[in-house]
Amino acid sequence: MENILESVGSKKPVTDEEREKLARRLDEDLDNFIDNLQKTPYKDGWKEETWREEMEKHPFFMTKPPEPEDEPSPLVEGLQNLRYDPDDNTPEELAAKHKDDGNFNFKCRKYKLAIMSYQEGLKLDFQNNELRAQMFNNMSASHYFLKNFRSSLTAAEQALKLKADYEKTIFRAINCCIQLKEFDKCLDFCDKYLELVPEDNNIIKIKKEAIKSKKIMEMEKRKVTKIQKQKEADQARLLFELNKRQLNIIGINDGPIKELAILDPRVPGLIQPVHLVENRLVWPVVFLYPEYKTSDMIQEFYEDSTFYIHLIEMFSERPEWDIDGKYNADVVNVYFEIVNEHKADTKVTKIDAKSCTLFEALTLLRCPIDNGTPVFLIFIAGSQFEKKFLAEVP
Amino acid sequence: MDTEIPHHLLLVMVHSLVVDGGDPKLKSDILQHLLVLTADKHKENKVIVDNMDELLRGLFKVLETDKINANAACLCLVNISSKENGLKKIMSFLNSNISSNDLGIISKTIRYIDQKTPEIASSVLKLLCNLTREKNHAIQVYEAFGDQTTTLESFMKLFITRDVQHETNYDYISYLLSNLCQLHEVRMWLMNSDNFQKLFPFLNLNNSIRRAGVIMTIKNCCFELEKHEWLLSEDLDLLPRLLLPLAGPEQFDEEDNEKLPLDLQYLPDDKEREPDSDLRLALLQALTQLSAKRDCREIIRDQGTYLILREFHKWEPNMELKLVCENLVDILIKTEDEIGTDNFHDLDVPEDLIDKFKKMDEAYLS
Repeated sequence: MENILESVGSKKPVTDEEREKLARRLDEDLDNFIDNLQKTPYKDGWKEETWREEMEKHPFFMTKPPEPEDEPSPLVEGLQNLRYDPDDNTPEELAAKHKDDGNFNFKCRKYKLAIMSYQEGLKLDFQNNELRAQMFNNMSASHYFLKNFRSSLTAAEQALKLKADYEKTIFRAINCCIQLKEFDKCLDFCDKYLELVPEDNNIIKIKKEAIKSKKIMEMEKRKVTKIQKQKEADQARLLFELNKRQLNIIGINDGPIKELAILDPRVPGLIQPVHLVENRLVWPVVFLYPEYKTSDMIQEFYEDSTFYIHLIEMFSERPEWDIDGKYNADVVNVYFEIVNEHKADTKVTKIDAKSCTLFEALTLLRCPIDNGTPVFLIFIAGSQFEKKFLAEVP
Repeated sequence: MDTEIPHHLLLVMVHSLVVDGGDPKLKSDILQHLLVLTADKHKENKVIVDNMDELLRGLFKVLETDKINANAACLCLVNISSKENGLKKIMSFLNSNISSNDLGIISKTIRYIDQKTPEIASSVLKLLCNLTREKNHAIQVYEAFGDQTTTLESFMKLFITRDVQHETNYDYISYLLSNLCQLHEVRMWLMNSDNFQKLFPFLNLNNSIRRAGVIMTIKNCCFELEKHEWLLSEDLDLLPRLLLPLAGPEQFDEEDNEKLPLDLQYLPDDKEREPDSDLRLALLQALTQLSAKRDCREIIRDQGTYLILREFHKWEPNMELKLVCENLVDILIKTEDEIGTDNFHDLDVPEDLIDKFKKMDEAYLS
């Protein structure tokens, strides 16, 4: 093209006639060329219905930058091949190009892309440790902005292996360690930094805080372990005391209790399961009043207290349901039931409320314990309900 | 080697060490025999005692000039210096030889204390430890160092450098340092450089030589009254480190735990106290020294020291240490009004009272 124009321009001025003739000849040539082309319909073009998508895919027109996972368009691939051709570049030059790409992406805050560029560059085999350290450092910075503190720290450490006196890298490593709660490492890095910049007030401050955080973390770890151990010891003691008493626990046919879960009262609300107070067991206990179809929960029934004491307390004020005010500790009888699953019969045992302790009821009389909560029935002595209840059991 | 060596032969052996040159193998054999002879704690060989000056001249000569036999010669000197008489002889020998050379024997032998000759370094350090136990001897040795600060710095560097293979050879630097810390000058050097803090990691070490030396060094530094505020400063964080070895596995409730420094809170059930009673004593003495001044006592009180000492006192099986602990607690549980003096060192205790106190202590211990 250039040649034609030059040759035209260098000769004497062309006349209008000549120019027109030339134009016409060129037009004809073009027409001929087109006419001689194979007459096939143009198929490779963008379809009318999808042109927007096609346009978006074209690197010249796309409105969004490509994502790392997208397959590059053939055009970009070609350009990339030109730019990154290993035949035209030494590995070090290539690495530097990847670094520049990374830095560009970094400036555009495309940290993921930046990391990929650095990674590409670092794969290459070249000797320049300074360049390598820079790429590791920049990669560390990119990870840091993505809050990938672990990766950022790893990259920083790699950079420091190549270039130990990289202040800003040490500083970033310090910050990563704080985020990761790796205080020992943090203190090492602080010391390294202070070797390079003694008396740096910021680092001295960070170091102090790291020491304190480390101490707090270690103390809390010890505290948790200690509490856990205490809990385990308490449970072991409780199990020991429970098994010593050879209780009649529903759900255990033979042998000792292995899990305390079997004694968990499955009732809503905060009911403390059986526990120890100075080697005495304290039980949650339920009193049933069949006459009024109601019940009471005694949350802390010490095993060495008698039923009488609790009954007195229970009726010291008239309960709401006791409409007639009949109930008091001296007029009631206390029973418990043993329901036999296999035979249909139920056994009822009467308790001498005045003298009997919970311990005796549970061990000697073998009152069953279901869901960790012994249950007792309370009747007015000699009342119809008591008679009816006793009549129903064989 | 049980057979007695005839006197005249022993005499020849001692003489042959002084002679220049000679067969190194022969010298090595002689030194092995001398090593056995000098190791006997109860019986002193008469020929050796009578020819001590000659022997010392020979041993120091080998130590200085014969690298192959230096270690054995040095170990003989360690043996000799471990006995009262031998120590005196060596010190006067060193004294009389100061002017004979440009460089004294000490400054020549401390050249072995480096990374190139770890085994000889170990023996030389043991010798120096024996020589510096008494303060006046420590002064004498310290002055013979030549450039003292450089020497001390190089010791510190060797001491803190991690080297799994050779580091035990430098363990005795900690003892030497604690002996030298009888001197004001060395204490001030240690505390005015950042070397003091570098000793802290060894406080929790299983290596008992290093731990012992470091505890003793710190104790000696606590005698430096004007440094007490610095020693108790939060940044240095010395107090919890002194208390930790005295703390056991006892449970404190949450409120009491919060009174303690973080490092002493919720210690595990298997926490053990410092097993060595001498070191426990040193720690108590350090704390007692630090309690001399009013503002320092207040810092010590604020850190829950009393709780640790209370449990320590219950546990301590040694009556003497119990007494030291009680005396310290007595200072700490008193209010400043009751104490009525800012600095214990300003107190003039009348002679008769000192006597009385001594008798009270004896009565307590019996």
